[in-house]
Amino acid sequence: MRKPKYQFFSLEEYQARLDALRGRMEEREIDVLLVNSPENLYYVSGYQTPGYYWYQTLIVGLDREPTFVTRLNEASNIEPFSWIEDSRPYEDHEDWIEHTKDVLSDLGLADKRVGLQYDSFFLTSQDEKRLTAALSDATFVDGSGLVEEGRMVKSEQEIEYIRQAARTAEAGLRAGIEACAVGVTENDVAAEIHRAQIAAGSEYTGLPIFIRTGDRDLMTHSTWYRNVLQPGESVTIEMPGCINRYHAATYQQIYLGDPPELLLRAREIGAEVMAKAKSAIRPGVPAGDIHRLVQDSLEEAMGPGSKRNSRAAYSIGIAFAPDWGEGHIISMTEGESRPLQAGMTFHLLAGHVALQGLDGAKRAVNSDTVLVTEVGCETLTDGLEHRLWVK
Amino acid sequence: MKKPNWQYFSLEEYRQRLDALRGRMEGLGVDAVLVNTPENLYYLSGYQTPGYYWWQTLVVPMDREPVSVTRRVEDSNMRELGWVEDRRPYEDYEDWVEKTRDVLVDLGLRGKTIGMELGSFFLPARDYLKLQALMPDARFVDSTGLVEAGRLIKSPQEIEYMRQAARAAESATLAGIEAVGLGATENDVAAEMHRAQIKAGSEYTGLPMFIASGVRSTMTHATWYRRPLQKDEVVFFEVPGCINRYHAAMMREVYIGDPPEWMSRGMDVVTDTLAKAKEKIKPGVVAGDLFEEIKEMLDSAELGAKLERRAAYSIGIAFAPDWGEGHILSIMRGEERQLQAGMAFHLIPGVRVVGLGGILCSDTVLVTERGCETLTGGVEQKLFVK
Repeated sequence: MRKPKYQFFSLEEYQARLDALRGRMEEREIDVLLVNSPENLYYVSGYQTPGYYWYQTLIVGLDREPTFVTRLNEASNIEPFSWIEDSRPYEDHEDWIEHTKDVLSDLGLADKRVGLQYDSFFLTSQDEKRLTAALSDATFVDGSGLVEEGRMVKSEQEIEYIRQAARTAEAGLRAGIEACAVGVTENDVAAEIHRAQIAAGSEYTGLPIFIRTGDRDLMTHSTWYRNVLQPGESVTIEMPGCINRYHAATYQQIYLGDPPELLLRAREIGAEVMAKAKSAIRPGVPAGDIHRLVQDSLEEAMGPGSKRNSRAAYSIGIAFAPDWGEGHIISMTEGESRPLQAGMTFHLLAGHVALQGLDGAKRAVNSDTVLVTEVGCETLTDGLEHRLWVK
Repeated sequence: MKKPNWQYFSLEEYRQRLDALRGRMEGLGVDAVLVNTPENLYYLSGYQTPGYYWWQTLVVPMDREPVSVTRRVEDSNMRELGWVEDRRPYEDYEDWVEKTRDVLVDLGLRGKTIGMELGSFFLPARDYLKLQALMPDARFVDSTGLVEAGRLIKSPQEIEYMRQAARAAESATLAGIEAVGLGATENDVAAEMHRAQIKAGSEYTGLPMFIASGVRSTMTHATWYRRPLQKDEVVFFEVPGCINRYHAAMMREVYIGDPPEWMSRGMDVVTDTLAKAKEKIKPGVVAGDLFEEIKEMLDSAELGAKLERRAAYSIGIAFAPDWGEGHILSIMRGEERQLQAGMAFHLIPGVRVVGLGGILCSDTVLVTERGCETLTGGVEQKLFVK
């Protein structure tokens, strides 16, 4: 292992990640794993680039140092960021699957049991087909989730980066709350939020910041779109921060004018449900139970129409676009029976309450990034109180 | 077709896009295609969301209106932004591949020929293989590129959005040049650039802005990383703007201190190459030939590094993780297709000299009937010195 120039984890931590991954490979009888997801590549090797729209893979065997196959242009990121030395890039005009096949043959791995990330966005179906056809002597097995399993429980250093990310998210939120006023545009607000978040240290995030006003709050994942803020409207901000690719996220809500009773009431209920969920979170509890608790609490307080139409929380950590979460690793959702473990981190959305019959405000929002500790739950986005900011 | 609440193209333009796609579907011999790529979904239907990390597909049969299958919470975006009326969302806990199978069977496509975008990031191999297994009577073919073929030539409305996007990119670039100085970090500069870009109207972009100082400018796609700016270093900017998902992008560089010879001469060569490449661009030029000419101009100047990637890529609609569409067409070695009026490219001559820094300057350009028009010409093509 070589010490990279930009190093965010100790070589011991990388070694431990690699050893654990190899243990899981052996359990699935995989001789060599091809890692394509940008989060997984970063987790195993330290290598990062936003240029993962070109094919790139890390060949992880059981008994020799891993080998990178990336675009030549991106190979410039391996030496500064990664402890891995063996890099065999392809050029823009070359066939990267042929190249991968040649590298695997060269390493003596072309007839082994090869694990592929069948669930990865960045191993296309086309490449999967071509690769399995090109390596006719290999046996292909599903290696999905093998690296992700190691990402599920965070180390001290990972948690520290998530804490730092939380500070940048809060800086963005303060600027956003300050900037909201009748007559300014969503873009004016977004401009100040980005400025503050980045000045506080944040990197680019896996998803854009979500800034929604009035009716547009009903459109999932909609964000700033040059609309003018109107009196009697709520503004919701879902805010990420990112340090060394680790993310934290949290919501805040602003109201322009005298807030309606119904919204205030809904926010109170949201805060209560949030508190209930946090006090139920501890190691050993099945993740789906927290989801159910949230649904039951919402139904009890507001009637069946107020139940969530999506999961109550998703795991959060390393992210590259198009997601800042890692809910595919574990979510608090209907039917999830796996137990919570100390060191897991979630974006907990338990404080959202849907509203009916109000113009200008479609829901009350309240969320935090939380850490499952040995004894319970710690809020990581605790630097800014949750309340309705009235402007 | 219904008129959406937020509409960025006329229903006639959408109808033309759909009709042209069906023409290409006939050529491929498919009864329906499944469209999963976010850019293609937006191009065809107007639907957009950053939430495409959940399965979503638009089923386009030859003989009836399209049907959208998205995650329940994202369906709100088809309702508000799309013209598609037949929407059949799935719940978070449902199996989306089974749901898609049910929709296909319901549409009478059980034993038909179905095109899927096997080259798309957002059709994971797992889902493709599963759908194939669930529908043994259907014949699946690769329809990658079928929608993209329509995106290659931009309409006047698309070009108008790219012009607006170029204004946002220029605003950010100017703010960045202004913010560069000793005592500032890369993040301080990035903060001012984002503020200016978004205030000028920009949406979120397909890739982050690239801002890298000193030797970090030799790392491809490196961006701001809290590094304090130093004297006698170059600061590299590659800046996008985005309006209604249409992008324009540009590179400029700032030098802190007196630029050394490798930098000043290098930038002269690069800007000269950029200008000459624009003079050569016109309909009928073979993309690969243009690449070789650009490469020769750069490589023969012996700047300490050679052009080791394509010289330009198509640009237009984008969602992360790319702001370009170079997979549709790039000006690169071996590309035999010709340039056509209405194509738009990010033209990126430049080299990265290991140990020293990047020497790069670029513009977004439009191929016109007569030649080439620069869309990002609002900031001079030169080395800025602070």
